[in-house]
Amino acid sequence: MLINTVLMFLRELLPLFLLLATLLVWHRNRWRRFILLFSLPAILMLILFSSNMLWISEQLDGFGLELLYSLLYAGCFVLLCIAVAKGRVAMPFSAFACACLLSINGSNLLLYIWLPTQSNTAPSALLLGIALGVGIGSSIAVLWYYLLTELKQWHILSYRLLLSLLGVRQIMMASALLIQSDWLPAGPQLWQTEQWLPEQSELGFFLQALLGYEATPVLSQGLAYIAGLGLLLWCSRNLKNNRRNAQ
Amino acid sequence: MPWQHIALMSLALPVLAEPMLFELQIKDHLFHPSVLYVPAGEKIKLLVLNQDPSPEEFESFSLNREKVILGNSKATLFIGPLQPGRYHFFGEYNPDSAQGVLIALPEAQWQQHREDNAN
Repeated sequence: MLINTVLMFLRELLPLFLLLATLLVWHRNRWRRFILLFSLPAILMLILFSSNMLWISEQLDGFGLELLYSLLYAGCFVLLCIAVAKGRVAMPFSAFACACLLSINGSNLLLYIWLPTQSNTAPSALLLGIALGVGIGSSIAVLWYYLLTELKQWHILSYRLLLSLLGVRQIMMASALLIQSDWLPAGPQLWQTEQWLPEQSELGFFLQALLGYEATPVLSQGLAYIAGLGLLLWCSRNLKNNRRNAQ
Repeated sequence: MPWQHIALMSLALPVLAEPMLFELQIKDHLFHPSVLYVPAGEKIKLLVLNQDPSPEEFESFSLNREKVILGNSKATLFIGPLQPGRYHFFGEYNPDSAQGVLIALPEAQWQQHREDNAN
């Protein structure tokens, strides 16, 4: 129970924490406003989705949740593209992108916390699991924040690349949901790296949260990934100037 | 081009067959059946019926699939076409008990499996 809760929280929160840390490096001079702009829409969306989860999941022949989540993932990507391309709206668009991701992961976590079976287990195990999961995730995010702070000072291209990888990860997630709903053709499998780097390993876990690592990606995911990465890198070509303007 | 030729060519277009449907049940945080045989090289439709009052998340790293199924409800997901082999899946909310494996069989073995089940 304890381990399951830790893993569940870590898995859901790590991608969000990494994106938050990366964007906070960019907006660190106005971090209070960023947190405010991120929190309000995130809480609103979380309440809206969680309270209508059953209705949403029953729409579109039972694929309502997949469509909503894939729209939110795609929305997160598009908002990041606009944020890095347009310096003046960078702050609110970055914050809304994080809010989109929190509404997905937060809904899953709320569902897990209020599972009917959780009432049979000791609340202390659940609380400890939550604390450990959040603690490990935020510790990784803090390290990531300081690494990127240094990196951004010396090598802006690396920062752009890591931000683009985090952004295109959302496209990978959206495409996986659309494929399993049969709204996007899968195509042939590109490669199989499960023996060398399983997704459930620590490194696989981290790479999944960072860049959307899949051990068995298919052609449509590969194409979407390359196109998305190229687009985000192109949009962020003036990021250095934007950063200067913002500061 | 005469319309008869167009009509004839349209007959030659591949017909999109409905994927085969397979059923999986969740009861008492266990998958039934825990071993599911499917044909390799074909897209399949998997219907997961959750008979427990609590939600469960069907999760498989090797199949690249994850889907939340609310309590006392059902969900559908599309899988494949798969290479022959074993694909592990589990319930993310109850990973200690909800475990299963999907086995994709090559054409000849799949036909044999169907005949064995029919008899």
